[in-house]
Amino acid sequence: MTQSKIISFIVENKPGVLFKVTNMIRRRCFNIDSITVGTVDHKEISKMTLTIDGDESTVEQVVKQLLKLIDVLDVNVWSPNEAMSRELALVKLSNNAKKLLNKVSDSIYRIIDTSADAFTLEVVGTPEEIDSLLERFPYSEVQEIARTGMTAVRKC
Amino acid sequence: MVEMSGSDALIEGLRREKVEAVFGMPGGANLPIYDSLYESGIRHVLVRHEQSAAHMADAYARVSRRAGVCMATSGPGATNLVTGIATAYMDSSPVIAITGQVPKTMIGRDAFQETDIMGVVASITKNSFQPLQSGDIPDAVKKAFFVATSGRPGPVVIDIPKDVQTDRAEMVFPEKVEIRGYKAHLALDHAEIERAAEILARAERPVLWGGGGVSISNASEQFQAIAELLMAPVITSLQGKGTFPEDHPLSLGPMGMHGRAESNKIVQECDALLAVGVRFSDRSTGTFSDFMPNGKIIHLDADPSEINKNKRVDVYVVGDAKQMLAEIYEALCRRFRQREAPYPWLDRVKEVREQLANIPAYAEAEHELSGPRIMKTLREVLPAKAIMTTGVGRHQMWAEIHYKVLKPRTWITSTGLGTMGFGLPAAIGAKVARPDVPVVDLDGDGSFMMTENALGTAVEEQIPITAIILNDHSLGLVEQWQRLFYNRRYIGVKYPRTPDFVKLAQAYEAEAIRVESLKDLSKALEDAIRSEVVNVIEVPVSAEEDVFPFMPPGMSLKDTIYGGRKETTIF
Ligand SMILES: Cc1ncc(C[n+]2csc(CCOP(=O)(O)OP(=O)(O)O)c2C)c(N)n1
Repeated sequence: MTQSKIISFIVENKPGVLFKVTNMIRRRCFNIDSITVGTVDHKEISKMTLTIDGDESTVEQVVKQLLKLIDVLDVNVWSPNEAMSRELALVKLSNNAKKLLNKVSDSIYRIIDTSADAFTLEVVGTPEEIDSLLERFPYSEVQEIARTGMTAVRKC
Repeated sequence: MVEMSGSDALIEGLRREKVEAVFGMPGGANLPIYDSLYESGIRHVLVRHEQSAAHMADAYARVSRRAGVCMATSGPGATNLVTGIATAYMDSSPVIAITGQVPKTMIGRDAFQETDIMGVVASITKNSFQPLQSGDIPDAVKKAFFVATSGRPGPVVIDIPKDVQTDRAEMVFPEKVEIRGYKAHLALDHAEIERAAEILARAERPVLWGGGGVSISNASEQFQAIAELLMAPVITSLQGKGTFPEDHPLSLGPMGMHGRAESNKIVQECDALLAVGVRFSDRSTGTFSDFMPNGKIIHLDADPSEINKNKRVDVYVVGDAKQMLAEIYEALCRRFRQREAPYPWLDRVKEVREQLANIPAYAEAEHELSGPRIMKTLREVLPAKAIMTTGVGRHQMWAEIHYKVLKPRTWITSTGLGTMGFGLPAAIGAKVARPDVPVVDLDGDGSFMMTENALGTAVEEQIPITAIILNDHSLGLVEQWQRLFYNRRYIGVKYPRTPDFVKLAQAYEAEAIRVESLKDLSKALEDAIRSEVVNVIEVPVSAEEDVFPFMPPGMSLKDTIYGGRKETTIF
């Protein structure tokens, strides 16, 4: 049975580390949904978050293979309900779409850029929230989308 | 603190690691390193191809339980090492490969002889280091040796740009290094040790399965103590061959694709399997789901990622095999009294042995120079301490089945990668590590020809090894597959014109002889291991003789073919 897991791990912030991680994932044929990375803690270490849909033994292997990499310092595995997770999306829409926004009651977005024919939304939320917001806009109104992939911390 | 160049610091680092010999070849990008080697007192063994350098370092490491060092220049020198590094990785051997790199400012510009060796070896090394300041070299060397030799050993590359080799810096040589993301061994889980002991103490049909990890951690004694306490039959992986003396009454021999029929059968009947330092390779277990569906499996290994990788186990402990086995032995002694033979399980083992004693695979072939007979002859002639290395193919499988290995680290073979061409350079590396014992490369003509130019190295460097070539003018093992599974449609397997190996060896100024009988083989081998020179013994063999038992690829241990042709006994 597959289940969705968030794997949050810290790595040395050194050249080549991102490559070692992604190369291992490729080499072992792990099928991941997203991976994000950013430095934390005075730039000495980075935190990476990957999400994966897999059975128990696949998740177990991902964790063990990550830990085997010398530049990986610590690994945590969470179910979605154990973590606070967020993703950022930037969505450029044609001005026609503005009227659709009125129907959206969520406060997960704000407009950060506008022009004569388009505007850009910054959306922060869980991947599902972002998905459902995006579904409201017809394909024809969407000019460009960029999403960061999910990052997460354990719930307080 | 001392001021010196990066390359001097590298060599000083090697000296501090007590490196006696390095195997390699110089070129543009590692000339400073070679210049520093000039007065170092470290022996340099010049190879004819860098692949051989890596195999030599690998075998040196496997025999001595210390890191083996090889060197190459950038680009083609470095890529020539790759097969050897991959071989060492699969068999967990601590090889340190030191490569020259183009100067820092040229990296990424597709400079002459630039290869991104760090990228190339990422998935076949335990880790790799590329010091970008000469002052970082002492630390990189210390870390490389620490990582390569500790925990589950494995190869490590140190890639040094040429300007980093020549730049001077104040060098600090650390006595110890710590790598925060790396623990050689985790603390043992004592509760699991107790659980393992409990299962073994209750088992009525225990079996021990020893792999390469047993010799790596020098744990043969502890392994044997448990076997004898439980009176449990012992099987090994191909890599683990010799971790338990194969002339011991409890020894059944290797299990797997070309394992002993007894081992393949008995393991299926056991109710508790103690697997130590093995990685549940498909070549050992056959189809994972069919392997041991009933009995309990206890897995001891140095590498947490090996646990449950191919096969779910009931109990596992991660750590150093020697320590784990010693603790299990103690835990067993607390709840178990020395078992006395005979007891029903050993009776059953005896019965299986008798049933299988005359299967076609074990029957004496009519012709004199048959594989099994040659193996028995080699064992008769070679002293127990002699080291055998092998190529890959039928000859290796015959040795797996019929050549009894009596001591740990005297059987050096490429199992995980199955690298043809390993045997001859491995023999040279082994002999450098152990000049005091006879070293024999058991080879096939195909494998031998892949790295035959290492004969030049052996002769020049006066490394007196003996290569025995079983010449069937064929890639024999592949031919066997084409015979059994492709209806004898032989393609790409015949070598009708292999060179005259006697003349070839003589051209390299080695002693050489072709033998036509077992008696002559004995005599030639006796002479060879007594001599102080490099010897080649060519033994003509038939390409038609299949090696059995054989568990066909993709099948299970229960499908092992006992011998004869396709139609014969399957159990
Ligand atoms: C480098 C490499 N290439 C190809 C193979 C595939 N292969 C496995 S065994 C074998 C034949 C080996 O022939 P030989 O060394 O003459 O030994 P024999 O089987 O005849 O004893 C081949 C080609 C391999 N294992 N390694």
